[in-house]
Amino acid sequence: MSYLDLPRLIFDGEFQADVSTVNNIVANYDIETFDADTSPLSWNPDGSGAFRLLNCKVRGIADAGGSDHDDDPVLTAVIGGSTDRVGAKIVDLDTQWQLSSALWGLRIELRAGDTTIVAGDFEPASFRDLWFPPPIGDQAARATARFQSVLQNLRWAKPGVSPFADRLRASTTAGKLSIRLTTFAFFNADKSAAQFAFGGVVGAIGPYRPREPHRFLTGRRFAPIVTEQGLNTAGINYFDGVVHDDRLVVDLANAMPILDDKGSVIDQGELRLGVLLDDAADQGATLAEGTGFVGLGEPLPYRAAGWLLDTSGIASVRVPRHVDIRSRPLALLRRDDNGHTVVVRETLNGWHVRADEHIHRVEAGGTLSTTVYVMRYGSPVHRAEVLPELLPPIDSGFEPVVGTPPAAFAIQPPRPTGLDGQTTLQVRCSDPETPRGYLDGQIYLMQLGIGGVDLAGLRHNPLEPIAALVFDHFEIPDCPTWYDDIRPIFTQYANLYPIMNKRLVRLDRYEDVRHHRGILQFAFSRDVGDPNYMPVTRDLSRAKRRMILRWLALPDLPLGTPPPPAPAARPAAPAPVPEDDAVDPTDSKAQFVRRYLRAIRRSEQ
Amino acid sequence: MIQIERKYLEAVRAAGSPHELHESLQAAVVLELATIPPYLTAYFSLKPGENGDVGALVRSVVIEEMLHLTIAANVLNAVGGRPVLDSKEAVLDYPSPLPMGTVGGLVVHLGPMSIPQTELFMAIEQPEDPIADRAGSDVVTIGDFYAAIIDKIKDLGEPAFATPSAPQVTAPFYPSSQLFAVTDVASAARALEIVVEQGEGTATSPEDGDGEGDLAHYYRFAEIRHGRRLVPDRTAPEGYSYTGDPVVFDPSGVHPMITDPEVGFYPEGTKAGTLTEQFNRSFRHLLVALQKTFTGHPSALDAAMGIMYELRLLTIEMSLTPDPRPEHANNCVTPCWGYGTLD
Repeated sequence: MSYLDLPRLIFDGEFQADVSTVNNIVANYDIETFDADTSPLSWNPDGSGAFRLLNCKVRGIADAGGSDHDDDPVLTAVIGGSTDRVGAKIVDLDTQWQLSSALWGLRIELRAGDTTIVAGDFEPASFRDLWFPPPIGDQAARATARFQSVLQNLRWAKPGVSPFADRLRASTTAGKLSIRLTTFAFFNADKSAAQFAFGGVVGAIGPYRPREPHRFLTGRRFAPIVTEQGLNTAGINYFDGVVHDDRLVVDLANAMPILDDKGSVIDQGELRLGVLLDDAADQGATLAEGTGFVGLGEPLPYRAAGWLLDTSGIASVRVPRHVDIRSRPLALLRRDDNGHTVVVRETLNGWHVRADEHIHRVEAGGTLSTTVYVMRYGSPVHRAEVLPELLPPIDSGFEPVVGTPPAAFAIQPPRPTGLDGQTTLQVRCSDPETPRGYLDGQIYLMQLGIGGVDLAGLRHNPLEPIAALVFDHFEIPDCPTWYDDIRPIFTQYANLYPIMNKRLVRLDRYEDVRHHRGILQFAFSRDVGDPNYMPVTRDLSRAKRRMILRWLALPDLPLGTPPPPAPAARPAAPAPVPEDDAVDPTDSKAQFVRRYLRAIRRSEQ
Repeated sequence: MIQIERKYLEAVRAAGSPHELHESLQAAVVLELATIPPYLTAYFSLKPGENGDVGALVRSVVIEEMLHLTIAANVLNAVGGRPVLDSKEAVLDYPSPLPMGTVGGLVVHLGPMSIPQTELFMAIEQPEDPIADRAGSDVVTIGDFYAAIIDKIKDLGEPAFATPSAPQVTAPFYPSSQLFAVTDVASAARALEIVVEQGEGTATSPEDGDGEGDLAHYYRFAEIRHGRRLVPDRTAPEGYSYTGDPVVFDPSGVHPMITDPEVGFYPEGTKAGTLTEQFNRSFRHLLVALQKTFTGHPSALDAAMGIMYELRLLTIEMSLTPDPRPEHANNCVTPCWGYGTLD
């Protein structure tokens, strides 16, 4: 049951995501056409990639026995990153897949004064269910997203320091804790403002249970209807809930349109959870209580000041014993003049199929592998047939085609699910042979179906396919040289990360690289989970990284033969990708979504 | 090299046991640490691609000061002491005299690279008897202090190394001839000699004694001050003069940082405040990482190295951010190197 289980701790504060944005523009990867003076660099070209949790404090604890421990030091704890190394990094999978930014090298520590109550490493995870709330009236909410993962390599305070921590430690398993961060109100409009690249965050930490996924909830999936244009019509985002004993616990933090960094939620009327009595009642249906649905608990208090921060968006309602919750769909309903309207409901027939890790980097010749879970009304389904489907190639008309060649991405039919509803999805990846020209490898997108179940009824989030970056095969030369092997790679990074390049190490200049050889060897040889890992973007194949290290270790750093002088006229830069006027031009994620959805439609035609 | 009060030298000479050397070695650790913020601020103040020779000189000194810090802490550990770095007392509140009661009223300021700042750095590094730049005063320097420690360690002999308190710290960032494990009298003496020679040079040569032809710190700064390389010169009384190739310092190639920044100049709610808070927090993280490094977890030095680069990145952002005070609108934010919070 994860962080929705008890004992649970919630916290809130700020996050900083100092992302670099030159790499948001695909054409900037082309070293033949990139021009630092004229190429578009987006809203934060000097971003360092740092991700930090700041001013985060424990807001409360919830426990089966109530919270009668007012003097527990955990209640005064701050939640911070590590204190003895650099900040974590936030990184996209690829310039052609920007909807699953991941946190790398994040360590979370709960500290009360000089005492560390518990600390652990956040297993790298990408955000899911990214949401751009539609404007409601004249109120425009900012994007929200949720990162769910586990904390591992836990270090606990001595028993007795915090009774809550002792109970949490006793409740959890496998040396892990479940954690969810929901980020909101990210501010990037004014570079000179104190809050530039900051936003709000609410978090929850609870026990991890054996064999549950690390990165999503195996529970009840509430899924809005999304139009062919990719628009969520519900005004509420995807969310999940779990049933535990006589309670339904839902996580609404990433479901509500959040206006500001105080967590104020746009008023959408009186909202209530309920059980649908008619399986066919869908979003928008008007139902009467008692005949159309059974209400659960009181109306949700989401309109109360401070609700998001006080609850971390988690709501718990009692399920009366006589209500059949395990075989009927759940819904969120709005009270109106004629009764109640279904705002968003559970997937059709309660089916839910999801992969634990949905973002992958795979070497040519390697195998993508992830655990897939099939559930119905939150219970594992035995002998379900999981049907992975490679999404067709996407041609935006402006950027390299994604998803080709399909033959390099050989999906293996998974075995039917076991008693635990789990199976393993594997994809054998071969050399895509540089189909994108100036970009290494290829992006493949996949979605999951279930045998005998209507795919549309699963109501997958179109912004959350399984995405894989398959690297090109690369033969490491025995004696790499600067001109032939290193410079092309380093020049691309030099173009994309000006803060590194102009001011730390000029990666595109041999003498500068030579001068900083030691620190480059250090950074390129880090473990991928280390926050100092280079490249920060983690988008270089293992073979190319080894080649760089081999070259850096050669005593004379061979130069090789300079290429013939470049022609006087550089190739013309590609036509800029048109921005979507309907979307804030500084909101690169929203722009990416619109381009992606438009390209899918274009490719399908 | 830094001039210190004679009593610190006498305290070393009076030590009757390794334990009685701990305080002196801790003072050396704090002193070496204290030089890093002013030097790095000057280095960070140089605009990218400008003042290349000046930047290389300052950077080379900073890297050696970090080595000296490591050596002092290694020796302290080797004789059973415990270096303290993550402490408010280990960090100076600039502007400030250097630790160990530096004589002559020397006050260290944080500020951008300039000729007066270079003169301050020369004063910090002044040898007992600088070649080609004689001051001629009879002073006790940090070089004498280290020499006294070497003598004392020789007196105390091998038993002083019987119970080291933490593993020695070595790192691939430095040649093994400069950074090595201190385990006995010979290695301790050799390590401390490196500190003295890199800082002061030898009595007869401005070179730092490592055989690579590098100048001791004082002379590197003096090259900036004189605008010329120090070269052998038979016509000069001491065989050297500042008559080599030009070392050009261009004040327009310096970010408009201020001298003596204070946290109060950069209030909360401004971008300058946000950056200052983060810089101080990262500096604190550096101290925490160094504390770990020198108290049993030598591999934490890697993390400390990473934090050095994080501080550099933050300073870049500061250099692009205007001072929020209207009368200083043409200045950029300057790092304060305060002992930050961990929150």
